[in-house]
Amino acid sequence: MTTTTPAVTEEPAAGQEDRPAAARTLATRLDGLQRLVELGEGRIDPALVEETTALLTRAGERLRLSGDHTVVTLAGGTGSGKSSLFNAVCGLDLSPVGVRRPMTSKAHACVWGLDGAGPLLDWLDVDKRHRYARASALEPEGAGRPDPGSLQGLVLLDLPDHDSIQAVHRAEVDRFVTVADLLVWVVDPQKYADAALHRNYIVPFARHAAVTLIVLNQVDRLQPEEVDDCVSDLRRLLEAEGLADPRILTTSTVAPGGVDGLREVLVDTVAARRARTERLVADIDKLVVRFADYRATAEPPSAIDERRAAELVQALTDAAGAPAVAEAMESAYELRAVDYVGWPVARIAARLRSDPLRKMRLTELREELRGAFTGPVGAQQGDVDTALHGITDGVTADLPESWARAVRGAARSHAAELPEALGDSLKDALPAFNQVPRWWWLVKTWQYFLVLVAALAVAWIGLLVAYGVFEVSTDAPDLIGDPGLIPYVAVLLACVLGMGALTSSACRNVVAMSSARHGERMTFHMRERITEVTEQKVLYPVADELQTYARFRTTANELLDNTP
Amino acid sequence: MHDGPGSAATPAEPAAGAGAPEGAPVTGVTDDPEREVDLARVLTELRDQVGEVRFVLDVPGVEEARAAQAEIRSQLDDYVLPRIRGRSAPMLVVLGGSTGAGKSTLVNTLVGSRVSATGVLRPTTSSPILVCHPDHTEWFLKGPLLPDMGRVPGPAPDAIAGDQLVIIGSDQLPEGLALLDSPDFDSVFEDHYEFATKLMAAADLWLCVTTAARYADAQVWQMLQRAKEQGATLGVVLSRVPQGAGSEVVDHFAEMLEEHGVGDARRFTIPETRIEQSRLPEEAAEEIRTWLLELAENHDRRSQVIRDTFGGVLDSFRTRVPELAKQVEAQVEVRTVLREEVEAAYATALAELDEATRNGSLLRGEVLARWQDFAGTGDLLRSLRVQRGRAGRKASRRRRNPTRLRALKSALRAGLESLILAAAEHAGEEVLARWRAHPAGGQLLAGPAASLGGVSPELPRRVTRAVSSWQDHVLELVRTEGVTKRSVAKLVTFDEEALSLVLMIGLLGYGTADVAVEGGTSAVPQRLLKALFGAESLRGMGAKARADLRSRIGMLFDEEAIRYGQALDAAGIPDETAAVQLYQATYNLEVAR
Repeated sequence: MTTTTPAVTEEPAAGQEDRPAAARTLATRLDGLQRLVELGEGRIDPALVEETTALLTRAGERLRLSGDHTVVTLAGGTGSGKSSLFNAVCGLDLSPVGVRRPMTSKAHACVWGLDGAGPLLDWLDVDKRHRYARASALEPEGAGRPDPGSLQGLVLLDLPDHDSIQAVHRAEVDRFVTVADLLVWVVDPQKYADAALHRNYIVPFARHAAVTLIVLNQVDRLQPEEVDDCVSDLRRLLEAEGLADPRILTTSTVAPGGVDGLREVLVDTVAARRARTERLVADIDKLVVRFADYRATAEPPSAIDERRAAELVQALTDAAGAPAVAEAMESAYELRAVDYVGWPVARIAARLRSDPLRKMRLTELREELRGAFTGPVGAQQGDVDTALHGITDGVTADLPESWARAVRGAARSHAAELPEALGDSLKDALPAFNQVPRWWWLVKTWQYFLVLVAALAVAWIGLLVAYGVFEVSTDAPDLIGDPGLIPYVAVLLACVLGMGALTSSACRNVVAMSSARHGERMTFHMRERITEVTEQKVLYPVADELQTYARFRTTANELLDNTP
Repeated sequence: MHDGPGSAATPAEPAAGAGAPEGAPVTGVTDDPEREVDLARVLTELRDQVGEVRFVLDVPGVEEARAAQAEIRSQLDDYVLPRIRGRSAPMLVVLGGSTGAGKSTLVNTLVGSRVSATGVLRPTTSSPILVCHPDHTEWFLKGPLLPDMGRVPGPAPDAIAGDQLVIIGSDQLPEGLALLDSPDFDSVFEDHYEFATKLMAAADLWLCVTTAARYADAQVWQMLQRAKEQGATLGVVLSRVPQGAGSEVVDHFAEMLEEHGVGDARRFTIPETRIEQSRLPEEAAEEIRTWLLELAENHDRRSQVIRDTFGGVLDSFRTRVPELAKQVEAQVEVRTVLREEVEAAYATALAELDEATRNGSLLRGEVLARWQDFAGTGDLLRSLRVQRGRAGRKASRRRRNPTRLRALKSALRAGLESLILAAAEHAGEEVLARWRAHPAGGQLLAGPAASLGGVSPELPRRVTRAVSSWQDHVLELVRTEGVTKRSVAKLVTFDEEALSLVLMIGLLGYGTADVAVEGGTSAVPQRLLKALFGAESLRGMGAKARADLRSRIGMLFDEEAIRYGQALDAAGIPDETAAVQLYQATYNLEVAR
C-alpha cells in the first residue's frame, strides 16, 4: 500500500484541543491576518480583503465549534466510487450507489460520536435527512479518550461529484471543500488525470498538502503490477502541480480489507486532532502569500523629506498669495498712515484738483475702493492641487502600487479644505496692521498744530496787510500794524508749511519702514501658520499613511517569514 | 472476418479507389464543379476576412470570440478548403473522447494490429495517429488536410512525437476510410484538448468514445455540443459498460443524448472486457466495424456522410460568422463608449471651468490680494485722467508706476493658468479612472495608452500661450470696441491696460456671491466700466471676451482629448466595416452554395 501517513502525534492531546504550540501559532497567525485586514482595508485589493475576512470569520466559527471532531470530505469525479468508499468506511449502506451517473447529488454525513457534532453539522449545513451517526457500544459515552483505532470524532462527508453536467454539484463541492478539515480526493484509474479535478481543486489547494489525501479507488480494476505504475504516475502529476509530498492511498471497495488503509489514516487523523488547525494554517498560508504583492522589500520612508515639504509650504504660500497679501496690507497701512501723518494742506490741495470720478458721478466709488482691503480670502483650488501634485513621488517610489495610491490619497485627503484653511491662517496673521500706533496721533496733533500756526500766520499777515499797509485803522498795536513785520511773519509761515511738509515726508519714511517691518513679520507669521496648516492637512496624514503601511509591512513580513 | 471487408473493398469501389488525389467528381461536396470553384473562392475570402479581424479589447465574451475566430479559421484551413480541393479523399473518421475511454484500443481493434499505444497510465495517447489504406498514406503525408501539423510516417506505435500527426498505412482498412485516434479532451494536458478540438473540426465523421463511468462528465457533453454546433456528423460509443447493469446505463445515456439534442447520432456499446494485445475481442467492436466499412464501401452513403458534414459545417458558419461579426460590433461599441468617456470627462471639465471663471472662485488668494492692492491704493483711479489734451496724457502714462498693475496682470494670468491646468489634469485623471474602471479600458492603459499621463507634457506651455493671448485679446477689445460714452469721453481718458484688467476681474465674477466682499465693494468693476462704456457696450465686450476664453480653453482640451483618441486608434480596434464584411462574406457563401 502506497501511503505516506502522518507521524502520529508524539504528545497526546488529552482533553485539550490541539497541541498548544500549534494552537498558539494559529492564533498568532489569525491575529496577524486580522491586523493586515484592518490596516489594508480600503488600500489593497478589496477582493483579497474580502477573502481574508471570510477566512477569519470561517476560522473563528470553526474554532468555536467542536474541536473533538474532524471533518473529512470524500470528493471526486462522477463514478469514482466516493459513495461506495463512504459506505465501506461506515460499514453501512448509507449513501446510494449505482451505475447511473451522476449518482449522489446531496452531501451525506456520517458522524462518529455525536457529542457536540450537532452545531458543527448545522454549520456545515448538511441536510438533516442525510446525517447518520455511528456510535459503537465499545466506546462508552463520556470516556475521556477514545480507544485507539476507533473513529470517534470523525465527521465523514460524501460529496456529490464535481465534474458532471449538474452544475449545482460543483457549487456544493466548493462549499464543503472550503470548510473541511481533511480533504480526501477520490480518483480512479480511469479518471485520475482529469483536468477538471486537477485544474479546479488540486492546483488551487496545492498548499493544503498536509490536509489532503488522494485515494486511488477501484484498484481492483487494474492488474497488480499496473497499480504501482499508476500510483507513481499519479504522484508525478501531483508533484508537478506543486503538491508537496502528496499522500496517496489505494483502495478497493470490492476486495476484502480494501479500505483498511484509508480507515487507518482516518483513525490517525481523528486521534491527532490536528487536521482542524492544519487546515486553517494551510488556508492562512495560501492567503498570506497573496499579501506579498502588497508589501515591498524596501524599508518605507517615514515622512515626506524636508526639501519637498519646504517646497510644498512655499507653493502653498504662493497659492494663498501671502506675499501679495502682505504687500496689499502694507499699501493699506501706508494709505491709512497718510490720514494721520500726512500734511493736511497737501491733501486739501489735492482735493481741489479735478477728479475724474466726480465728473463721472462715481465719487462714492473712491471710498469703496479704499475699503477694498478685506484681507486674504482663501486660495485657489487649482493652485492648491498643483502644489499637491507629485508631492508624494519621493516617498511612494518604493511602495507597492496600491499603497502608493493610498499615500497619494492621504496627501489629497484635505485638499478641498485647504484653500479655506489657508485663508483662515492668513487672517490670523493680520492684526499687526489694524492698530493705529500712538505716535500717529501725536503727529496728527502736531500737524494740526502746525496748520493752526500757519492759519494764525496767514491771519497775522492779513492783519498786517490790513492795518500796516492799507491802514484801515491807525490805532492798531504795533504787532499788527507794522508792515515791516510782514517778511518775518511770511518767513514764519513758510517755515511752518515747510515743517509740516517735512514732518509729513519724514513720518512717511518712518511709516514705510515700519510697514515693511510689519510686512516682514506678517509674512513670517503667515509662513508659520501655513507651515502648521500644511503639516496638519498634508504632511501628518501622509506620515500616518506611511506608518500604517510600515505596520502592514511588518505584519505581512512576520506572517510571510513563517509561511513555508 | 475482420480482414475480409478491407481487401474486398478495392474492386467493389473503383470510383473511390481510383485514388483520392486525382479526384472522383462524384464524391465531391457539390454536384457542380463550377460551383465548387466559386465556393472555394468565397470560402478563401471568408477565411481571410475571419483571419484579419482582431479582437483587441477585453469585452465580455472576447475570449470566446477569439476562440471562435481561431476555430472557424482553422476549420476552414484544416477541413473545408482541403475537402473542396481533395474532393475524393477518404472519409476521415476521428475518434475522440475522454481519457481512459479506450479510443486507442478501439482503433487497434478496428485496424487489427497495435498501431496506437494503450495502457493504464493517463493520458495514454499524446500524438494523434492516423491510419489509412497504404495507397493514401502519400496523400495524407503531403495533402492539404491540417496544414499546420507536422507529419511523421508510421508505423510508430510507441512514438511520443508531440504535435505530429503519425500516419500509418494498413491494408486492413478500405481505401475510402481513414481512422484518426485523437488525444483525449479532458486530461490535465491542455494541448491534448487543443488537438482534440482541432481534429474534431477536421473530421468527416466524429466518433465520440466515452465510458460508463464518465458519461455524465460535463466535458463529454460540452464536446458533443460543440461537435454538433460545428456541423460534424456524429457517432457515439459507450465503452466499458459493466456486465450486468449495462442496460440501465445505456438507457440513461440514450436519454441524456436525446435531452441534449444529439439523439440522432448512431450509438454503439462496448462492454467492459479483458484487453489482449491492446485490442478488444473482435465481437465487441464488430458493430462499429460493420458500420464503418459499410459507410466506406458504399459510395453513395460515404459521399452522403461527407456532404452532410460539409454542409453542416457550412451551415454552422451561418450562425458562427455572424456571431463573430456581433463581437466585432461589440468591440466597435466599446471603442465608442471609451471615446465618449473621454469626451464626457473633458466636457465636464470645460463646464466646471466655465463656472469657475464666472462665479468668482478664481478671485481668491493672490489674485484677490493683488486686486485689492491695485484698486485700494488708488492706482486704478490714477489710471483715469481728466482730459487734458494728448501731450499731457502721454506724459502722465509714462510717469505712472505700473508695478501693481503688472503684478495684478501676472497674478491673473497665473491664476487662470493654474485653474485651466488643474481642470485639464482633473479631466485627464477622470478619463484614466473611467478607463481603468472599464475592463477594456484597463487593458488599453496597460498597452498602447500606457504612456498617457493626466496631461500632455506640452500643455503648460500651451496654456500660458492661450491665457496671455486671451489677455491681449481683451486689451484689444477695450481698445477697439470700448466705445466710451460720449459724455464721459469728453472728460476722462483712461489707460486701456488697466481697464482691460478691470474688465477681466469683472468677468471672472468679482462681487458675485462666492466671493465674500465685505464693505459694499461689490461690483465695483462693473460700475466703473458701466460708467465708462455704457451698459450696452460693456455687455458686448463681456460676451466676446468670455466666448474667446471659452473657445481657447475648448481648443486646449480638444488637443488633450485627441491623445486618448490616438491611443484608441493605436490599439487597432476594428471598425464597422470589418463586421459588415463578415456579414457580406456569410451572404456570399449562401449565394455560392
